[in-house]
Amino acid sequence: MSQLQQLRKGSTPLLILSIVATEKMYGYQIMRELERRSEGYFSMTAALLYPALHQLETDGLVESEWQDGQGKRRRKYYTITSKGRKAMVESQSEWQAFLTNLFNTLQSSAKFQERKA
Amino acid sequence: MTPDEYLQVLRNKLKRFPLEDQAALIEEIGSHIECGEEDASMGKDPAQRRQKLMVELGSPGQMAKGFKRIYQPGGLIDYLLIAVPYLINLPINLLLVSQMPKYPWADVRLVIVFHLVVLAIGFWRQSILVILYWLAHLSIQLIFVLWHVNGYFGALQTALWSIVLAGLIFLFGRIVWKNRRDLLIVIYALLPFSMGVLALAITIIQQGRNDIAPFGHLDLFLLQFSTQYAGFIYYTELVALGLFFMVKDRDLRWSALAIQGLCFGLYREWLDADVINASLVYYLWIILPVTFVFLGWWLDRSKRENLKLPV
Repeated sequence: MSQLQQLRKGSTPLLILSIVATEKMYGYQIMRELERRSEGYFSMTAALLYPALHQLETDGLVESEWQDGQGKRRRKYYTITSKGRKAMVESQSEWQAFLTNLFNTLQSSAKFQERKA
Repeated sequence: MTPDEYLQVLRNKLKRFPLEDQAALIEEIGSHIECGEEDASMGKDPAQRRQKLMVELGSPGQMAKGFKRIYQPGGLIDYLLIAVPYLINLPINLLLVSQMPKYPWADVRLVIVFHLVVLAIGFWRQSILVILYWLAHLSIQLIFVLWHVNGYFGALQTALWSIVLAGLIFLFGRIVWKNRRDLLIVIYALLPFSMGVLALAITIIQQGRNDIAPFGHLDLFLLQFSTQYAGFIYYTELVALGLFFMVKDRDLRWSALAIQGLCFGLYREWLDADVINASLVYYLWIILPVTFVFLGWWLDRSKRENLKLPV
């Protein structure tokens, strides 16, 4: 797995939490909403999304309820819990700090290279 | 692969899961497929929509692997968390006995603390099998210790251990209740616990009784067998547990549990020798765990046959 893929995988729980933080949604909806918000950059397979959703539920970060859908099958709606909201805020600031530091370091390195040249 | 085939493959890969959980997962993924097939943004042509949808789903193997990682973490490591303490139990006890004159605190309490650490690892790994095994065994261990030492550790420590015991029993009951839909897990948890409680009940009832019936040929044979082959029974139980942790086939797992039950009955680990001098009690002790497992298997099988859910 490439480093970028690892980063994307690591960001999956936060991305899901940010989607279900706005309103309760079922899996398919979450997938489409994620694509829409990221303009197609963050697209994930259902094989990645559903286990991640279940992991979040096991950890108490989201909760779910079954509701009748328009078709034959019921839909499982997920919504964020207060614990999940707290975890989302913490994770957001961690990512923020990580990205800021990463870019600051990269910029400093670039400036150093320029000066050296 | 068609959506139906996808769900069928997924169901096969999740066959170790309890039927209700399996059905819920299939329902959720089936609902995802249904939504995709109806979503006009996926393409105008239904065939095109379906093709795109199947790519987006990812492989059923990958999906099942993801679910297994959450609900059924690594069988071998979990098994080792039971097998290793099980195997080193005897050497540890011998070591403690040798150290006891010098260090009076080196007794069964150290073993209990060690088992509590293994239980904590089970919680950390979220392994229901490890958690239930150690909750049941620790509860029984503590019940027996508190019963036998009869205040030897002093009032404060007795109170402390009693609180730990109450907490363990509460957790045990809560987790068994949460898993009540899966009879295999329920019986796996209740088997050692109920045998431990039964052993204590027999000990209390039989203690000091003199009206004991003389032993017959069968009783003597069973007693001699359990004494002569104690080592064999000890390791058979470990192998049965290994089978329970590793195999996928549900009936095989029930068979493993039955073997473990038989070992419980024959090994008499928790039954004091002086209280089994009544053949009826002894028969009951041997037959009960296997009957218990058989009843569980029978109920589970009937439930599974009645719950044939469409894909």
